[in-house]
Amino acid sequence: METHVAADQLLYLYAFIPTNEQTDTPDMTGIDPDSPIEYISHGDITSIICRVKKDEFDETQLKKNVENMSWLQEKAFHHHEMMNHFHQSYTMIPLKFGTIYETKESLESIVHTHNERITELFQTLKQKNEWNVKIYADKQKFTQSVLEHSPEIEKKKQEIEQLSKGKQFFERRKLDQFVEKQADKEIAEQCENLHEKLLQFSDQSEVKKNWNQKVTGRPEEMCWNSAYLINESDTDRFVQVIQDEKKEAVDKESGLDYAVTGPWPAYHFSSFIEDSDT
Amino acid sequence: MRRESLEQSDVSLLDILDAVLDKGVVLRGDITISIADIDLVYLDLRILLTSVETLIESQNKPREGETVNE
Repeated sequence: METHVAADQLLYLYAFIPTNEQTDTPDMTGIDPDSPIEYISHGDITSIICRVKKDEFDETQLKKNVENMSWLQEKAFHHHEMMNHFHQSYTMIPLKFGTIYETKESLESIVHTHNERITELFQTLKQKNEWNVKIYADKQKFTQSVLEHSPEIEKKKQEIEQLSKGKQFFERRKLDQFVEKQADKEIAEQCENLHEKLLQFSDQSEVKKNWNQKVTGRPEEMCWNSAYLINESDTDRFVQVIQDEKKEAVDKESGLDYAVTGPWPAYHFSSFIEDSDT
Repeated sequence: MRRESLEQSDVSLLDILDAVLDKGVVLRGDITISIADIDLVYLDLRILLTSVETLIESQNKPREGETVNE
């Protein structure tokens, strides 16, 4: 295949797949609608790429473009859809959105340098999917339950009644903070419990940062966000654990809501370059 | 209970960004986005890649300083 990269072009890298699994040549439009998706073979490893324009994807432009929501939405969806498509057919090392090489040589040298790790990852990721779990908490329900069920707090409240007005103010604030802390603790415990259960079926896992409420657009607070690498044969049991937990939460009106998404390509478990700074 | 199903078609843009962006996203500024014709999510912060995995490089080594603000 002709893989010369023109001077005004860059290579957008989607994924690595084992060359021996590759059955067909792709016939799809890439992340740049003017370019097709291509395979570049480097021995046992094959890259899935698309040529993109420098004036859209070089480092400076890319940073500018990702702040444009409609651009980001379109391109991120494309990335996501293509990855799902390939993920259905191949053992795949998915790259994060915006992984770009300047030349075919620079891509090849990366593949060459990390050949062993990439091959190892193919073995690790074979027949596995990533699943993401997010838990949302109705915080008020939890603080309410702490207020209602803690005799300690009831006692404290009565004590505060006896104090002078000025002191009451500060003691009440202290009490509120205590209640909130207790509620957070209870939420965290329940999340950790589920996490422990899910680990039984997980090959690997990553606990992630929670999203700001303004981002999720949900009235409840995100209190847990994690990714799991799950063997296909364990998927049903993994999902069942969450479904059971969810049902129990609904029945008990616990104030927690569980959102599961998957199967995803193993975005969180595909790092082939050793991170020195994370 | 909007996302009962596990179908990928029910995955929101935010789920996608959370998965496909390296280290997730950081937000600042004011942006309103609509997702999948259903959800209108108001973001009062602006999306920014914290670590674009731009392996742009002319030499053999990945460029330093890929992680911004992390």
